[in-house]
Amino acid sequence: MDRREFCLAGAVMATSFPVAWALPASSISLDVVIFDSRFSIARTYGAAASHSGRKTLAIQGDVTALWRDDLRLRWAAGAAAIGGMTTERSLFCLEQLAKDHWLRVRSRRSVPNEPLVCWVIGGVDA
Amino acid sequence: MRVPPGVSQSDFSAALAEFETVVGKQWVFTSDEDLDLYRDAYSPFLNEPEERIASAAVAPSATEEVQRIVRIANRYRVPLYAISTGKNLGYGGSAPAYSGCVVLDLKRMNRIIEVNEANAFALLEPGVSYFDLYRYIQERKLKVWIDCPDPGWGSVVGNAIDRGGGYTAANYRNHFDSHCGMEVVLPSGELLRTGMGAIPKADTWQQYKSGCGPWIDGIFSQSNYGVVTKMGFWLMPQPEAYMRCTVSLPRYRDLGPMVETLNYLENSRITAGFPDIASPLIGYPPIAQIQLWNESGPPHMTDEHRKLLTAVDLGYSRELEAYGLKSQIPYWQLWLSFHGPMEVIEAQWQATQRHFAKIEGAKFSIVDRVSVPLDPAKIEQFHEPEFGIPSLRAFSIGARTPWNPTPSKGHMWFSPIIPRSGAAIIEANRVFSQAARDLGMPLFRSFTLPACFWERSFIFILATPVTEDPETNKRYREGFKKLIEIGGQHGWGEYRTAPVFQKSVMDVYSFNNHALQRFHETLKDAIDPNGVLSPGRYDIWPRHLRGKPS
Repeated sequence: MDRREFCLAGAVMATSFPVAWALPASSISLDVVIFDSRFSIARTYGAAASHSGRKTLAIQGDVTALWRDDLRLRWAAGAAAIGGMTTERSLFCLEQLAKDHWLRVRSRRSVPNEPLVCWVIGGVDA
Repeated sequence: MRVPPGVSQSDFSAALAEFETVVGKQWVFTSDEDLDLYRDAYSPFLNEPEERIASAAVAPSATEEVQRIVRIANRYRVPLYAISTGKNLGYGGSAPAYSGCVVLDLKRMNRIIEVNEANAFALLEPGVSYFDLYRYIQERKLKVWIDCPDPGWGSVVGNAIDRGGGYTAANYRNHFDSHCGMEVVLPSGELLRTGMGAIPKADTWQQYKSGCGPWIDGIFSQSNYGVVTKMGFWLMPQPEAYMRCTVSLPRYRDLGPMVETLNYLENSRITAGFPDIASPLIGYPPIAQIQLWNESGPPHMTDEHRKLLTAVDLGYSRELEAYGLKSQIPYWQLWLSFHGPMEVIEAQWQATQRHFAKIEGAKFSIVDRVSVPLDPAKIEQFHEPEFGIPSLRAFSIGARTPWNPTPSKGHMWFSPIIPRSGAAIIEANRVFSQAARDLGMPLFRSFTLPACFWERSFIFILATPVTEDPETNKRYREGFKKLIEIGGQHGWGEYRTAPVFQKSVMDVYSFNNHALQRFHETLKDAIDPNGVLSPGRYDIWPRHLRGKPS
């Protein structure tokens, strides 16, 4: 997965920068896209991901419910690639949890002028 | 391929091949990309050559596999470093104490063997997380609570072995103390059960801790004498109700009597919930409120109040105290929680008030009084771990917010144990705040209050930042070691620390020419003559590595 470019300029939607810049290419298979709904740009990102047919889940900084109710089970069932636009701190938390399943951050880019990063977590072969 | 120091490439390759026959090829990790997963995310040597790095990792799924791996490691003299889930960030994470070790990763051993509601205990493998155990209990609607740290993402066994703490009632908060019975793979590969588990077919393994004869469980915590593969824990029966109350005291001098009264009430089990000491006047929040402060900002403070705080000495000035009295802002505020039947905890609160009322000006309030289990929709109003509910909200503490614009890249916990008295709080502040100022360390800046995880002592738990600047990290590391040394000179020692500081910490435990350290080494030599298990953990080195840099 790291050899692919997940944050492709103009990859998916005719939306304004940086949403399109941030969204993974539609050819990339992500099980779910996470976004921090406290931030307008992340909400737009989530909507774009949803529009492109991806399952989306919203958080508000804290990833406890996301982990407890979804990711923990999803990753226990098999290595699933996920992507998102969150704060560094939320990503840090997810990154540490992903290690329990030998998954890692495959792509990470800061969102200009926002306290956010867009990222992809997956396995070695993703 | 990385190779452990002192092991030939061919021996290491042979050992790895044998590990693969035990666990399967997919559970032996040697690529840099995989081994990066075992780096300590909060390493104080972040991206420096001294960062502790593994040479490989192997992940067994059963005790028998652990035994076989340990025997292979002995044959090739390959050092192993056992972890459960490796989530003890700030205390070393999953990185080995000795660079080049093969991480023995136990997270696939994640069976919940038993949760016994009638006798309120659990028997677990090391890969079981607090989230796993909580979910298991909830799904079966068992009326027992776990006690979890904050964050609660780690291993129940691992946290106990590292002697972590939690937030419910006193006899469950000390996670090692609340364990009952272990199964341990010794460095020889032999399997041992402690306590009543040493009796074949005993059904009291999780009901009576010590068995008969020497009680050895303690030597398998914060050590390297064995790999714990099963561990029993006493659980708290789900209480009927929960009540959280505050005792507010107006004067600086009330700190001592407050602690003495708390000690009496706790040691008498009149109050057993997590006590949380705050200072509204100094602007020091209770632990349970830190994440709320970080998310929403601290309570409003007037300019006059803020100005007065710049001129305090050890948290005190006559003017600040006068301002607090005039403005009805307590100097100290003790948050107490009670668990049990409502009529019992009401009576406990009554008795608590009667004792604290001896301090002039004491005021009392009930913050929360709720039935248990909580309405799930309301749980976010509370500090979840006080209800035995694992959470990750603690990470908001380090998040970038308007009140925390420059979060650090991580932290090292400085956590000395000090006596349970008001005088000790002030004296430790005097010593450490001066030292921190001298060393340029961002700790103990104004006045710091301890935590009450343990019943009979206080503990300071202070985050020393890890930055992206190696020079700053170096200064903080050296300062951290100096603080350890200064603490030791006053009789204060860390309860737990990251591998990079374990030598400094253990040096403080120096009574009778380091008799304790020498005993640890005598044990190590006897139990693990080849030194294959977690060399250097808590500064216990096998003979051939003693005195050498790690």
